[in-house]
Amino acid sequence: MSGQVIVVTSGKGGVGKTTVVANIGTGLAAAGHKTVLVDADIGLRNLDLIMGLENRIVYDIVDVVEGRCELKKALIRDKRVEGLQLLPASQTRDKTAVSPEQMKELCQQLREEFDFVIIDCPAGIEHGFHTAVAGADKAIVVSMLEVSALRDADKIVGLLEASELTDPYLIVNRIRMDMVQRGDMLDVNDMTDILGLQVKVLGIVPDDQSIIVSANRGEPIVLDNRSRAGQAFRNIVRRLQGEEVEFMDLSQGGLMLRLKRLVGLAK
Amino acid sequence: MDQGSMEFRGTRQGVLLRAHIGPDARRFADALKERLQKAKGFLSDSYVSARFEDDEVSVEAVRLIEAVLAESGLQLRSVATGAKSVDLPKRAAVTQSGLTDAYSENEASVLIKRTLRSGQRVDFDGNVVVLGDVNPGAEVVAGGDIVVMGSLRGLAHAGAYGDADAVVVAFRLRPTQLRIADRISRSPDAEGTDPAFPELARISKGAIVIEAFSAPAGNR
Repeated sequence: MSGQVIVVTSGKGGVGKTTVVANIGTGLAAAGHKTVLVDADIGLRNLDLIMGLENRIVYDIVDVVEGRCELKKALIRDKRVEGLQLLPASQTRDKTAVSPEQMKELCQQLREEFDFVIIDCPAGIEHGFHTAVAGADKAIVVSMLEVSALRDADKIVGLLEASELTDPYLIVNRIRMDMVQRGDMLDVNDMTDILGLQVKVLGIVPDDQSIIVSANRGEPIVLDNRSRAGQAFRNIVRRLQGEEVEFMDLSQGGLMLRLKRLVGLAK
Repeated sequence: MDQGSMEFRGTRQGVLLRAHIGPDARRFADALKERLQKAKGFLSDSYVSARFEDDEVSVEAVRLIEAVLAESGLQLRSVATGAKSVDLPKRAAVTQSGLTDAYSENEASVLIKRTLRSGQRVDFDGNVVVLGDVNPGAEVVAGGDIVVMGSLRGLAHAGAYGDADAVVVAFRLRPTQLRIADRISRSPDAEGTDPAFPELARISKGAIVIEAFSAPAGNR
């Protein structure tokens, strides 16, 4: 029984790929699936920080592909969730250290042991991107409601289609609903209009300050019951398992709005 | 073009004859004969694609012209006529002589059956038809016309090898930049109107103009 290899990519930097990988991975493992996270951003590793596992790194992905250690030795068990492991990137090398063929081979090995292999793709469209997507079955494109993120996402979808990773999922991240309603931000329809109907929206995640806090603490926000972004990720995890979950209504919420409703000043 | 005037141009596909026949076809044919004799040998053994500015061209006129051309070793391959309006089929043939059909000077056309995404580029020396959108960041460069059966939001360059008669047509013409032959045009910076009907861009009096596209009148 073979696991599924999913690459999380975007083109644009800073839209939330690593956050998505950490949270989807944590969520899937918490739901009982054996999951491994692979940091393919070699030279600029972040996934270990977001997971809070940076102090536990002994070997990394480059050590594995260069034969200095066995894959098993490089995998780090998550400190919170059973069934979740991390294969960290190297911080001292760069993206040329791993080739697409080596990545493909690695994914083959990993999928034999895990239900889900989630790969954190670096920003850009160069060698690092091609390596990260080499072993994947499915792609998740992360983007924001912002013109340059959208332009890059379109480019990435084109490159994914050329690599036969057709019908990618889309996660729209860092949504500020107040801005969308004022017309200061694109809305999700503008995105799907450009990206096309074959790109299915897997989730919409509101901009949430607690994400920064959770990153600094190394605690993925999907575990936080009070966070709306956490809720969005929990929904995404359910959808990845085949469940139909309604999209969150991002227009609600906010303490002021709730108070206003309480005193009858808002609907 | 004045009545009775004609001009020849060499193209990749042969000789292009542009002329305005006028009411007296025989007179035109004679003038054509004279002109060909002066250019003796220069234009022989070629196909000729004729484009007449007349709204209608009679079958006899075509036969006459065909004969005159044949005398100089030129074979009339296709004929186009067109009304003053410059909708796409200025080149659509509307004659009853069996020898013609709708043609375009750049006969080769490529059909692209999907949306062009950011960073993708098509470069073709004939016409390009896209059955899909052209997203911002995508480029279509064509020697002939460009037709987008969708939203053109990227860059389109028609007549890229010098054909100033080339046009760009789209269901939704909202390009980042439009080029025809050696002219460049861009959308105004201010948020203008965004018409929800097909439009056509062409060169008129040296500049690119955009007009509503309407289907050509049918064959007579």
